[in-house]
Amino acid sequence: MRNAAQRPSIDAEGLLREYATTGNTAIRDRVVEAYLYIASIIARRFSGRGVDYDDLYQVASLSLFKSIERFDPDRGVKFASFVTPTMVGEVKNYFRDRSRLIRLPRRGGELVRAVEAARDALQVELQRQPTAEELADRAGVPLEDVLEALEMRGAISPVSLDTLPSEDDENAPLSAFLGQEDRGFADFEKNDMLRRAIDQLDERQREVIRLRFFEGKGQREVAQHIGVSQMTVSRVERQALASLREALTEGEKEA
Amino acid sequence: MPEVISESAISLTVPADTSMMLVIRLTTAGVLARARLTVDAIDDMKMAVEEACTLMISQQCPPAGLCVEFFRREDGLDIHVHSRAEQPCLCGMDRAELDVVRAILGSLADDAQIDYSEGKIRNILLTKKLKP
Repeated sequence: MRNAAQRPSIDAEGLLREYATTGNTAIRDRVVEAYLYIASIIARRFSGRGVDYDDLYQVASLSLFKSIERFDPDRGVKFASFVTPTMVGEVKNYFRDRSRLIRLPRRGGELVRAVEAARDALQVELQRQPTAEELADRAGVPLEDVLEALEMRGAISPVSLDTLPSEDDENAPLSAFLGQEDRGFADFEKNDMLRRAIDQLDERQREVIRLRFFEGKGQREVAQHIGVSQMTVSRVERQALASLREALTEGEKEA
Repeated sequence: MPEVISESAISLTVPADTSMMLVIRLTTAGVLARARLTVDAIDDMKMAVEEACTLMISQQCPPAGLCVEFFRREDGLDIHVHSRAEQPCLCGMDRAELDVVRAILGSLADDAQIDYSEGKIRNILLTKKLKP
């Protein structure tokens, strides 16, 4: 009674035995195509509870691939019986993980936090999932509140990044307030690496680089300034730049 | 559906409407919490009962009302979901899909049975084992 549908007319167990031996992905793909309909049914049945069909279909489909990799044809279990609970498990985990990422409204948020904290603590202490009564005792709230908090966790929807924090901020959705990596750190590191690379040059090379690139002088001016020919400046500059390029490339590899 | 209603049974009758799911879920959670189930098991069973009710509502010819009944046994809990009408309505669901739904229910509860004949679902029985 508990076996999943046997809709595909393929010998999944035989094919997966062959796939386990040969690693031929074309065989795996045949099984995937034959069983994707289960992912589609599961996604359809669990959609409409705050998560879109497409997301659920993706989770269930990915789980189909995982099931294929984990399935042991020699255990005597039909693949259809193995894959459905695995997909349901993944979808359940998706719901649970998603509800933990959700920012809770202030009302109820504290209760949910208290219940979640009690749940985590009790799970460690008891080495098993706590009962609702144990949670209520630990969190110091009535049993009804615990049940309500558990329900609330899954019932709320995440806030979209396109949400406007207030009606006045028409051009500033929530995403505009997200932090981003400070480019200053990267620039600082690059400057530091360059400084150390320049220190490695000999005195004449350092002087040429300083005058050419930090003071912006032309090769002719630099030649006059240090009393050598322009051709010498050009050669020294070329060598110095080659050394710097090498030193900086090494530095990036180490980083 | 059960022939004899036990005195310890809890029976919930609601309109067959998705807006009733919260009531059904909270009632399920309350009954299971009294049976000292863990919170994860409660979550799974809430999902199973909701799925069973959704199955009844999404039939080709949905019933006007639903009954959800909870029966405590020595070593477990039976939950029956069926139509409030005396005559069950036509399911209209593809047999393969019904089998997948049965597998979904079975992976959430310890056991799931769909009493299905002549294209009609008469009862859905979900069983949860209880530790002594």
